[in-house]
Parts: sequence; structure tokens; C-alpha cells
Amino acid sequence: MRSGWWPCCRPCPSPDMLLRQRLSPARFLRGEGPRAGPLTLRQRRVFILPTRQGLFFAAIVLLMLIGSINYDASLGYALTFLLVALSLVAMLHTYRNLLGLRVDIGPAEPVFCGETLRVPVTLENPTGQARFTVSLHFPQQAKAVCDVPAGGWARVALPLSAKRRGRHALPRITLATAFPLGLFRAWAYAEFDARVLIYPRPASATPLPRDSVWQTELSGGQGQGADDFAGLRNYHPGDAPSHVHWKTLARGQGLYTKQFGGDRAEELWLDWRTAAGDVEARLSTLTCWVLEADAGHFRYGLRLPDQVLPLAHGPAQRDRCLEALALFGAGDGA
Amino acid sequence: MKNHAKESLDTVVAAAGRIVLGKEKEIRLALACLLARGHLLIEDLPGVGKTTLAHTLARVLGLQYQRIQFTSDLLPADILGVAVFDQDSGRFRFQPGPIFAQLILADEVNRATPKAQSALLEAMEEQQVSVEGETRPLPEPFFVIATQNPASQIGTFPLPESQLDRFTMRLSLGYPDLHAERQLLAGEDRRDLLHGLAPVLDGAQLQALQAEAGRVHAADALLDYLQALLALSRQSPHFAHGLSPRAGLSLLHSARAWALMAGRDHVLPEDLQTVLPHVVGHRLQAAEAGGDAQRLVALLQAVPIP
Amino acid sequence: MERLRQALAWRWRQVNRAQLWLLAGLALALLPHVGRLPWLLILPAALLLGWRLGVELKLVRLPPRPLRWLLVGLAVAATWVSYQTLLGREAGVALLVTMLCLKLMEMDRPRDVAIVIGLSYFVVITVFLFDQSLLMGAYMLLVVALLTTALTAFSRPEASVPQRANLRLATTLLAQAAPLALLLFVLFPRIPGPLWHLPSDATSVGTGLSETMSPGNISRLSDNDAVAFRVRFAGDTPPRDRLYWRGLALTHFDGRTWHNPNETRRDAGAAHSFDFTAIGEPLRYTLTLEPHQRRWLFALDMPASAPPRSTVSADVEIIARDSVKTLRQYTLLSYLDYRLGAGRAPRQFTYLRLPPAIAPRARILARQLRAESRDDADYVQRVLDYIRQQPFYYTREPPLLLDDPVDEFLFDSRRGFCEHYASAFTVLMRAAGLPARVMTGYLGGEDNPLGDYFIVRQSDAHAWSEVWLRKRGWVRIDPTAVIPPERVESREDLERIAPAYAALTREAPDWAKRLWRKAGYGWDRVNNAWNQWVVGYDQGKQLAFLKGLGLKGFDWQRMLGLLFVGLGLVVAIIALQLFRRRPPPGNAVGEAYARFCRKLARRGLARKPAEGARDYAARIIPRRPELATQIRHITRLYQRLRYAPSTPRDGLRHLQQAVRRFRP
Repeated sequence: MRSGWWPCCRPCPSPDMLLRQRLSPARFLRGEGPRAGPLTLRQRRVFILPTRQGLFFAAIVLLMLIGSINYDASLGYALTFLLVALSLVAMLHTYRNLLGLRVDIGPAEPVFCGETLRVPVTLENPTGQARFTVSLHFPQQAKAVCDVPAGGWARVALPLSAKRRGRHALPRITLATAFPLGLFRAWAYAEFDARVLIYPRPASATPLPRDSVWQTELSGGQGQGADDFAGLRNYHPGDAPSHVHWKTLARGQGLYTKQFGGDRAEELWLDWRTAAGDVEARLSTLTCWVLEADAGHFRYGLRLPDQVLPLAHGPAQRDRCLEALALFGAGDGA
Repeated sequence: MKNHAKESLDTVVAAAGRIVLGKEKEIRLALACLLARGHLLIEDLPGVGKTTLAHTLARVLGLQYQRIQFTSDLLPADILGVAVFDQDSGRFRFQPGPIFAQLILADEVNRATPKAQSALLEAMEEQQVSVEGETRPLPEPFFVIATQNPASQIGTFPLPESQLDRFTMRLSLGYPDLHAERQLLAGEDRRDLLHGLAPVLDGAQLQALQAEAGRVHAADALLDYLQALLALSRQSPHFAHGLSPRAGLSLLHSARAWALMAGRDHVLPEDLQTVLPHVVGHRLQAAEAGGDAQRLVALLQAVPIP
Repeated sequence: MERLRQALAWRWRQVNRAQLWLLAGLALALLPHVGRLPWLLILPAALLLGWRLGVELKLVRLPPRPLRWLLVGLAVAATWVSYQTLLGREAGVALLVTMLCLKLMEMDRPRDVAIVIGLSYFVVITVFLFDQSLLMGAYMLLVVALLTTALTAFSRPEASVPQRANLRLATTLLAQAAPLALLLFVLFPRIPGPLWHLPSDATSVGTGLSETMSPGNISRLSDNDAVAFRVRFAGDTPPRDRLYWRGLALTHFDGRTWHNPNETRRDAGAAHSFDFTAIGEPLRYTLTLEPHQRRWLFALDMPASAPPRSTVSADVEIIARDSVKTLRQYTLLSYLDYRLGAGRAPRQFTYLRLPPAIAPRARILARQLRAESRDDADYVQRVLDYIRQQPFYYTREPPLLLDDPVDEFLFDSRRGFCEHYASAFTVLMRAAGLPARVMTGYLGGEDNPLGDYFIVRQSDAHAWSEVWLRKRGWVRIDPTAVIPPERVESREDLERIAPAYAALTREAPDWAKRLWRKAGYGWDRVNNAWNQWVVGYDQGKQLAFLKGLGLKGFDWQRMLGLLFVGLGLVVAIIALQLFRRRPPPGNAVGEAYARFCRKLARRGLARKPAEGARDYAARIIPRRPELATQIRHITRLYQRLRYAPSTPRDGLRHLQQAVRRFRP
């Protein structure tokens, strides 16, 4: 259970903020602070500046103007002005390409430290104008580019490399576009009040602590399974061929079936004390064990210095244990 | 043609309704699930007629029927079958398990170990069984009705979410109403009635109907609605996780089957709304601890129809 | 063969469409330069364009980096070889074009693409340095549209839109930019004159009259229909045979060629004083000169002043400060009757000199005629009579004159074009001691009946003489005018030098010819308007235009102010139109049904957003049973139209009708 994923809503920034606030450079650089729930890119959120290509274009146009003056070429003036006007119009179009988009994020599946989080971001376009080549990225992370059809939506899994275990606030998302001419870049910041969970990096295959495997009393008797060779018994019709002990048959000693024991109802305690190394190494080892125990259909529990997770099995138990390991020593959240 | 389909399906529902009293909607949903080539999970208390429903459907539809009682010592081989060593020929012969039937009742599926559960679910998913490295197709049509007892938790292995997703629908039958209960008490033994029941369809006809259900038209507008539902589940903070693409397909197929049963060649949003709680109910999990899946269904039902 | 075709077709489909737009735009932008730039540069440019296309088709690879640098070096060298400079208009354009085509070999990053497209726009403007005609303007607009399309295509590389959509987007952008561009064009303060002088282009070839006159070089123009200039008279138009458009005075003769050494022009400063007396009323006219790459300007004989940025030489030629490379327009006053230089005899050395060895027979004739004459004026008359009486012909195909063109013409062939007559006449004058010079320019012109202006074409080029007579000063004598009409071979020449006689013998042209001619005049009128209002739009026109709007006395600051206000306004209008929230592309079916729901909502029976049409109908019918039929009908239609695979014909219309009639 990943409760606490969506903390209660903070009050949104007031729509009619003071002019001084609107013009503050901090807003320009950092956006407006995190918020929960979908975010609509309105005029005051979208900024625009020329791109490098735009500056080059401006230089060309300036040269054209000088040439037109020098050679008194009226059509030269006309072309120069047409390009100036074109870039003005393109500026409006670029701005419009972001305006009115609704941004929202979904919960990102937790990943292990060192992997890449995929944060699902939805761009909804409630207007009648299709949007093209909108790029999104987290700071210093790879970009994702998408088009948003008119009246439709687009979804991207925005990459975010997981560097430290724990629960972290989601960094700011930058949305940008240079469509339609690439002369201007409009951008907006979207900051969400959301957390991402990063599990510790699992240690490379560490065998499970077998001495802490307990036979369950609840199911009684000895189970039959496929994991551990437990001996031979006489063959009964219906036994699987792979379990037939062919060597004895070949020696003419009759047909025997290999017996395996104990893959069912085994209980396993994963204990902080059995793992070795410093805090992070222990956490890594325990993470690896949790994954192995889950893969082996064990009923297992987790004992950490500050808490104990009771015996259970299945994906829910795995998630619980991994979350406990991720948050170990950090209180709840960062 | 469509009306022919509707007529024969109505006949099936009426015939089954004579045995399973007062549960017409559940019968229809079960049938829709079958037409959508899905599998059904019935979660209810013992004795409300889960077995009867399954058996009745098998009889009415003319399907081979097998019942597997899931227990804690049930092995995968007990479901799938085993290769038996023939002492005379010195060879192994495959002895098919109970799963090689057209309608399987997997009773109290949560009593078996995860391994046995997996065996059933994999066979359900793949429509085939791999035993000893050999793949054997399951019969067509193939329909699993699994039952689960929600009351007893001790010593059970509840199906995990990922396994639940493989069931197209989940139903609960509930107690019969007064009138039905009275009939049940006053009337003949259900078991005897069941034996006297004549099949209305056969396997081939059922397969034709399944194919027909697949051809029911889903307009763009309807798909928009379906996607809006899926999008809400994936974006709303109340959901622990969104509906899977498989859930979306299950919804669409079930709604198609439901539309076919209503004698229509196209799906209406109402069809989707009717099957919605049964298709998504068991797949949803509230993000808040102790959250109620019912509330999530209600949220989905409030999504505006585009 | 078939497989190759298929393979190419397959590759063609894989080609980045944005690249194709760019290549097409660039190729079309370069096309007007073909023939203007040397083949040494055009061919490599074409080759590089083809190479890029081949790279896109994956037929060839990009050249390796060292080869690219080598190519750059070769391009510079080729430019140098062609022009002996890298500066100036033509060498600069050539260098730009080849460098741009080389840049095509290196276009991996978005920045490179931006550079290539930006420079391609620049190529367009270089074309305008040579040709600003209406057709070229329209053609270049197409090129700009293609280049803009390339920009849009590059900026949405992944979008699954058809290429038509890119073209449409670019057209939309240009259409929205048009009013802004117009505003800038009209109001942006025009700065006259070059900011600095660029090295003159030695190789540029002028059209029209040349600096010198020798037998054959005016008759060469007689088939050239190109417009030399257009004239609009403020008042009445004088008769055509009085329209002598004065150009150059040629004073030096070497026996074959007349020319004017530059010194006489250079010392023609503004301070040069003329002994000039005007007679009668002046004529006011505006002349729009097509660029001819030379410095002299034309004026109706005899101009009273020089237009701005030009001076008058000692021989009363109007010499501009720079050569006329773009359309040039000026307004002048001229007097048809005048007296020039009557007070003082001109320098003997300049106007009497003849090379000693030439035209012995002409000298004898001159001596003989002069001896018979009472005075100089009588001598002029006798020479003209001689030309009239002897069998002189006016022809466009004069025989080749070899050793002594003047004598051969006067006594042997007697067939010639205006330059032969002017040359021979001037020689006869000088041989008799009368100061004389050859004038070149144009004669006549045609009235455009579809617009009140005159068209003077290259075929109107003419040469005549000016003779200095005591007390009368410089007198214009046109020896060709005395040739009897029957000895004028070409109909066109007759129309020109003897219009009155030509009018008598003119045949009525057939309708096709008339139509053709009329179309020609119409087209010329459009071109004239283009020249007047677009190409010739300068500071003066700008101020006049503002004055016409009632905005008098505008200086450039106020003009800029007005410009920015106007720009802001237009940008605001476009922004309003762009930013207006438009609903998603609605469907008529949904809208009709929504109307139906609104009607019921007004009666308190609103549909819940998540309620399907069927459920809604089932809920409201019990509340309004009297509407049951209508509600069921509309609901069924709506469901069929929206969700069913096949929709009934006219279903939408029926639904809309039913909703319109529905009155709950």
C-alpha cells in the first residue's frame, strides 16, 4: 500500500497574484511552487524567448535590412519585413503551442536505486488546436517529446534517474516548445507536490539465509514440492517423468521416484542482524533477499532495528518490505 | 442475424433461470463473460448456488463440465494431468487432468497454494497446457468459473492482484430474494431439475456467438469514453494504480457481449456502464489505507460520457 | 530496371520530407542566378544540391571532412578566378551561394539546418538586387513559402501530419504575417542612398545604350522590346516626334566610334554654369528608369535642372552619383524650346576635331557645300537637302562598313540606321568648321492607352546631332528626320521618325493583334503600378502617402511611433484570434444532442454528465410522457449516428430537424 502518495492539497497560488509577484525574476526561473493535481498552463505560466536559431535569424534579417538600404532595393525591404513579421507571428504561435495545456502526473512505479524512474505525465489539450513537438524533461534528465492532438491527450513516461533511496519530492518538470519555426522557445514549469519512492539497490545475488527457514506448523505434515531433494520412494502411476530416478531403473533396481520437499508453507525471517556490512550494504542485502523470497513463493517477514513486518506473502508483502527498506532511517519521507 | 443471436441467448438465460432462481442478471453477466471469451470469478459465501450456476450453464450450453475442488495439497499435476509410465510399453502416456474440459468450475481457488493457482491461471491465459515439455491445446470454447470464499481467511492464499486481473469479471450472487427463496424451498430439488435440463446450444454454436460478439461495433465515440475511464483510473489520486490495458480490453469485450445479448450491432455507453462494476471491481485498489473499491467504481461511473 | 525503380520509390518514401522542402526551396531560390553567376560556380552548386538529394535517397554518402574543406577552398578559388575579388555584389552573391551549397554537406544538427534556411532566405534577397520585377517578386514569394514550409517540417519531425499540413501551416503563417509586413513596408522610415560604397562590379553588363556609338550598336537595339523607362507627364503630352530623350553627348571620334572621354564629365560640377534660356512653358514629368547599370540618366530635351544625387555635365548630360542598379525615379522640368550656349563659342578643340586621315571624300563634299552656302545655317540646310535628295535609305540591316565608315556610307552604301546618319552628319559639320557633337538617347515612346503614361523601349534608342550656330547656340538636328518616308524600310521606324506620314498609311490591325497589344498594355500598366508603388516606394513616396492620409509633416520619429502603434495593434488582433479558446473539433451529432439536452435542462430535466442517452430517456419519459415519442426518436437517432457502424442516410439532418422541432 503506497499511502501518503498524494498528500493533502496545498492551497494553489492565487490566480490573481500581485503584479510584483508576477514579474519577480524568481518566478521566471523557478516557476510557482509545487501543487497537487492537474495544472493548466495559462498566460502567466508560459515564458518565451528567442532560441539560438532565432538570434541567428535575427542577424540575417538585420543584414538583409542593411543590404536593402544600401542597394535601395524595395523588394529587399519587402522580404526583410515579411521575415520580421513572420517571426512575430511565429512567436505568437509558439506561445500558443503551450498555452492552455493541462499537465498532470500519475504515480511512478517505484524503482531500485540506480534504475530510471518513469513518471507518467499526461498532457491534455482541451482546445481545438493540436499541439506539436512539446518537449518535457526533469532538470538534467533526458527529454521526452510528444504531440497532443486537438481535444485529446498524450502520455509520456518521463525518465528520472534514481540516485538515492528513499522518498523524494518530484523535481520540477520543464515543458518547452519551439514549434512552428524554431525561432522562439516557449517554456513553462510544472511542479507537483508528489513523491517518488526509490528502493535500495539490491545486492548482487546473495543466498537466502537458510537457517532461518522454518517449517510451518499450520499446514501440518511435510509438503511435497520441487525445490529440495528429499529421498526416493516407490513409483506410483501418475508421477512426473522428470521425477523418476532413471539411474536406479538403469541399474535394474526398479522404478523409483525422486521426492522433493518443502517448497510450500516455508516461513522465512529476513533479519537485519543476519545481513552483513554497513547500513546501506545491509539494506542492499535485505532488498535482494526480499526479491528472492518473493520469487520463491515464501511466506516471509522482515526484522529491522526499528520495526518488524509480520509474515505474509505476495506482491503486497514485497512492496511493504521494500518500502520499509527504502525509508529506513529517514523517518517518513525526505 | 443479431436478433437470432438475441433469441438463442434469451432462451439460454430463460432455461438457466429455471434452475438458478431470481438471478437473471448474474446469469446474463456470466454468459456475457463467456461470450467475451473471458473467465469468471465468483466471490461469495458457500451455499448460495455458485456450483449450481456453473453446472447449469454447462448443461444449457452443452459444454463438457469438470469441477476441481481446490485444497491446500492440490498439485499442479492434479489440475493439468500427468504423464503415466506404462509398464507394458515402457513408455509414458499423458493422462489429461480435469482442466481438459470446456467449462471448469475451480471451487475455492484460494485454498490452494500459489503454485497450483498459477497452473490454473496460466492455462486460462494461454488456452493451452504445457506438461513435460509438450504443449497441448485446451478445448474450445474454454471457460473457467473460479469461486472464492471471502469469509474464511485462515490458511488461504488469496489471489494476488496480478492474478485477479486475469479474470474478466467478478460476480457475487448474494442471497436470493424472498420470492426466489420461497420457490427454492417449495420446489423440486435443484439437482434433479438439473439432470432433466436439455442443452439449448452446442459448443459450435457457442463459438459462433463468441465470434459474433467480437464483431459488435465500437464507435470512436465509445472508445473515447472507455479511454476516459481508463485515464481517470490512472490519474486520479484515489487509485493505488490505474486499470491495466488488459482491463480496458476486458471492459470492451464484455460490453460487446452485453450489446450482442441486447440484440444490437453496436456498443452503447450504457453497455459499458452495466458491465463496469463487475469487470473493474476486483482490479481496483484504493490508494488510501482501508479505501473501498466500491467508491472507486462510483468515481469511474461518474466520468462524463464524451 | 523495374527493381531499381521500385528501390528508388521505396527510398523516396523514406526521405525526410523537411529536407525535400528545403532542397526545393533552395534550388528555386538559386534558379534566377543561373546565367548571372559564372558556370564555374553554378555547376558545383547544382552538383552539391544533387549530392544532398542523393544522400537523402541513401545513394551516396556525405563527403568526408577533409574533402569538405577542400571544396570550401575550391569555392573561394573559383570565386576569385571569376571575379578577381570576393567583395561586391556579384562576387559576394557567388561566394554566398557556393558556401551555402557546401553547408548542405553538413546538416546534422538543428543549428545547421537553421543556418542553411536562414542563408537561403538571404539568397532570395540577393536575387532582388538584380531583378525586382513583379514576376520575380511573385516567384520569390513561392520560394519563401517553400523555405518556411521546410522550417515547419523541421520543427515537427515526428508529427504524423501529411506534408500538405506543413505547407498549409506555412501559408497561414505568411498570410498572418502579411499585414504586419505591409505595415512595416509602408511606415518603416526609408533611408535614402547607400550607406557605403561597395566596389563597383567590373563585370556587370548593362543593357540599353552603351557609352560609345559605332555603326551597328544602336540598330542592335531595334528589336529589343525591353522597357527603358516610363514617363508620366503632369500636363498634356507633347507630340511624339518632339520627344527627344537626351542621354549622352559624344564628342570624340576616331573614324568609326564616337565616345566621350571621362574628364569632361568629371569636371562637370554642380557649379557648372549654363548659358540657358528657356522659351515657352515648361513640361513637368516623372520618369521611372529601369536599372541599366550605368550612371547616366535620361531627360526630355532640354532639362532645366538635374534630379537629386546627380549632376549635369558640360555637354548637358545628367550623370548620377552611382550607377543605376535598381529602379530609379525622378521628376524633372524640361523645355521643348530653348536656347543653349548662345553667348560663347564652345571650345574648338573638342567640337571640331576630326582624325586627320578619315573621310577625305566627306571633307571635299563639306568644303564644296560650305562654299555654296550663305552662312552656317544655310550650310546645315544644304547638308540636310543632300541627304533628302540623294538615295539614302533608313534600314535596320545596314551593310557592313569596313575601312572608312563615314565615306563608305555617304557615297557608296547610303543605307544606314540613325547612328550612321548622326555620325556622318556630325563629321560633315565639323569638316566645315561648325562645332558639333553626337547625341544618343531615345526618340518618341508609346502612349499606354490603359494608363496615362508613356513607355519608352530600348527599340526607341536613337542618335542625332547638335550643332552650334552663332547666336542660336546649340541646335538639335536630326538628319534621319529628313529621309522621305518611302525610303524608310521598317514600319516601326516610320512610326517613330515620321508618325504623321505613318498614320496615313497605317493598316487597321486585326482583332487578334489588337487584343494582344491591349493585353501587352495592360500588363505594362500592372508593371508600371508595381514600379511606382512597390519598387519605387521611397522616402518621398512615403511622405506623400502619409500626407495623403492627412498626416502632414511626419518626421521619422513620429513615423516610427505610428509604426509601433500599428504593429502592436495588428499583433494584438492576431494574438486575440490565436489565443481564443476554441472548443475541440466538435461533431455535429454531439452538438445537436447537446442542444436537445439543453432544452430539457431548461425544464429542470438536465442530463447527468455520466448518463447515457438511453438511461436519460428512460428517466425523463415517465416525467414527460407526452414527449415520449419525440424523445425516443431523437435518442435512437443519436445513438445510431454516434455509435452504430453504419449511419442512416440524412440521419444527421433528421436529428437536427427533430431537435429543432422539439419543444419541451
